[in-house]
Amino acid sequence: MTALLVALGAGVGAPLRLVVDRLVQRWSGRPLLWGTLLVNVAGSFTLGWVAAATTGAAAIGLGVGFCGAFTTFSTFSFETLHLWESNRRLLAVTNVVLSVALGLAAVSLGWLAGSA
Amino acid sequence: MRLVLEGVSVGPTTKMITAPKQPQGHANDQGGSKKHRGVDHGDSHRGAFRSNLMCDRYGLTMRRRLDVLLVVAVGGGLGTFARWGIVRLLPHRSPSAFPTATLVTNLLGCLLMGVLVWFVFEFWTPAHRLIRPFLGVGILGGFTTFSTFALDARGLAVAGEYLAALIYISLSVGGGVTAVALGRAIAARLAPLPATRGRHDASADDEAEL
Repeated sequence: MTALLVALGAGVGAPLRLVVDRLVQRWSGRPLLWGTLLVNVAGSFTLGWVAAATTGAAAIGLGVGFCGAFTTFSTFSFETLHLWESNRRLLAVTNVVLSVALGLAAVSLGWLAGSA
Repeated sequence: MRLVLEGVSVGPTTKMITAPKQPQGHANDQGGSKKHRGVDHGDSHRGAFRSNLMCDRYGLTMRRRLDVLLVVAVGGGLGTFARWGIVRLLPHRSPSAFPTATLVTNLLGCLLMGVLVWFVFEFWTPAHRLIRPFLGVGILGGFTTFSTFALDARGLAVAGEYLAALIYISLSVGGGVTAVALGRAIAARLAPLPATRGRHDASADDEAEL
């Protein structure tokens, strides 16, 4: 049952990331970066809420499955490397600082929202 | 639903079409593709690529958009299952314990991302249109996670383990970027390009979404 919920959560989270990423690209006119930042921050908020407000199978399905597949560390790292190597180093550093700071803030806010 | 599907209409083939590395009969054209971007020089082969791009952007059928979402969903499920397995092998016992499982999966996923980057941007060009959605967005996107990384870092900080939080964040971010570069270097060593093909500048490809 738990495995099914993980699969279900991931099966929704992963395509949703692609859709959000493409919508952000279309909206911002810039293909890289902001979509990944948005999904990672939004997913961190959601996981903070899930961790505080849910337990058991729901927490695993939503937290491990949905939030895990919705957010990504590998694309974040690749995009940072790509910016650094294409001499947009300030943007690479900004990406790291913003992702970590906003991710931490979002997960804490989500936790607060879930505990309330 | 239509709007949502519009959002993925560009499809994974766009970049390869924009910068074809080795068009047939143009083996000496390497590196020149960047400056050709957005301009059709009347080269029939390149023109065919370009109209293909237009088709992808504006006229892709519903089925071809859905197949991208489907492979991403399946890949995401497989990658997430793999991470869940590792998390169960290396359980995170308390919020103040060091989150080894998440660090290991994220760094391993970044290493594999580097390997994938080499193959899809350098080695197989053009790569099949579903390879990047399946392996990059799906499997590696599901295998690695930013949200758990943020939750773990918060857990360490809230437990007063500020040094451990700082070490965890530094190892994840610094290690992740290094692992992508390392994975790409390893793949380049194991699967070098044929001597007739020059190195393609992946940094020119702003549409390199994975």
